[in-house]
Amino acid sequence: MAPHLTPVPAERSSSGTGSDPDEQGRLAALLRRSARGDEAAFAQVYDATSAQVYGLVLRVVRDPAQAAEVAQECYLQVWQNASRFDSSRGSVIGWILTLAHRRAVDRVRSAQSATDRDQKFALREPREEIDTGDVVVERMEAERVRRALGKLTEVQRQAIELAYLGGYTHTEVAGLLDIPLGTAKTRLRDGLIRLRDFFEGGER
Amino acid sequence: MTVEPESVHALTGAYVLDAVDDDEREAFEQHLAVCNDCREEVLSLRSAVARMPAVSAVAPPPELRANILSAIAAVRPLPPLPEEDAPPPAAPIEPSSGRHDELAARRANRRASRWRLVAAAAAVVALGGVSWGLLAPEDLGGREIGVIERESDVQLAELMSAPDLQVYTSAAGEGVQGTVLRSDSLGTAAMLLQDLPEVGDDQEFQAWNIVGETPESAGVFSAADGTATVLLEGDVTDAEVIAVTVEPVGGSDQPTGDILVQVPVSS
Repeated sequence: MAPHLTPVPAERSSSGTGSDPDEQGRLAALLRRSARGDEAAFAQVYDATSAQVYGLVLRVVRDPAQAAEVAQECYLQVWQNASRFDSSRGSVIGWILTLAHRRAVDRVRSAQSATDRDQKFALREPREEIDTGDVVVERMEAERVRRALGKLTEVQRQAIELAYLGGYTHTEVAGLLDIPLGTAKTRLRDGLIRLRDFFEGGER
Repeated sequence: MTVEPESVHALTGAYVLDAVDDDEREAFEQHLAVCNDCREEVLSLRSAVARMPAVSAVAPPPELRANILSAIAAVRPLPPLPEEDAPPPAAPIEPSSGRHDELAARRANRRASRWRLVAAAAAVVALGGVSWGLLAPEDLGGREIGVIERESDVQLAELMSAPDLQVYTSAAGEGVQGTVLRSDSLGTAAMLLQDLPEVGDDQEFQAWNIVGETPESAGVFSAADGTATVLLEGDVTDAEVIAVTVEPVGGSDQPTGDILVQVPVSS
């Protein structure tokens, strides 16, 4: 199947909360202040990251009330562990999203039997994404990510969506896509490598 | 491990997407502790994964912000992980618990300067397997407690990947569980301890390197939640037994307390 968006060369190094070094530095500084008990600084961290965090969690758990719960747990964890954030291991938003995703996945897996998980995954239609889009840089970043996703093969994209948004294990992904076990694992890895290389290539 | 190395490496993608079950995660984290390539790949893939939520951003319900901000007011942020090359810990965080924090800071300082305490609570010793919480930031966050110092991290990673790594465990049973990891080629050893008892403010644990009848100090340390992972000091290649006692703060020249655990390490 053809990508939804025509990939174009990464002609500009657009920025966003995920990639802008200034923004990363600002968030890291706010997080350090949070670690010292500065609630106002933490509120700014929340404001800068909550749309991505809540959006991701909502995608995975689907139920808004549960998404709010998971997001709240996640931010409490961020507050409590702010001093342990290590900037050499990635960005603040990356760290928070990692925590949030893990919690969201735990939540859907523990509720697995109670939920109908055979619904479609919204990333398949990237144009229909809900997008806060208040800020130009956020729009640009979203556009850029969509272009990157458009670079993936159909199987890579489906596998990543099922794993990341569906909360399925690679074993389950293999079953859902009807591909051999080892192949799902490989598609996840080579798909992410392709995304990574796209992002890195465009920013240098 | 029954998983062949080739397929272990390929799990980086599934791992960063949380597309692994608990057993796979644990096994892969053990692998990460000894595989630089996978660690680097995990970091780089995480950065790519972190970009994806940009397309799905949704403004959260407004009350969430208020709920979170009122909830954090009741939670004390954890202190930083001590680091040898870091500036001294910041001043007490909360005025209301100043005394406590000062004590904690002093202890952290003491620990950092004299003893290299690594990956404390994150280390889980199990028969036949050692799980290190060394790597992923979310693991530190999730498990709440962990003391990591970079230099020790590196030494520990080297030790874990030494071709001649030997693993010795204390006899299974009740009480303190100890595991000693030693590489004769590197001349380094680490000890992992679980179920350590609480000790008074004026006491610390001390490790002993016993050759024949003579115990030599292998370092003084504290525990976090009853667990500790320590790089042993001194020449450990000839050690016959590594033992741990409770001693007054600062340690003793010769053991004075009862032996909590001993691990025979004769090759």
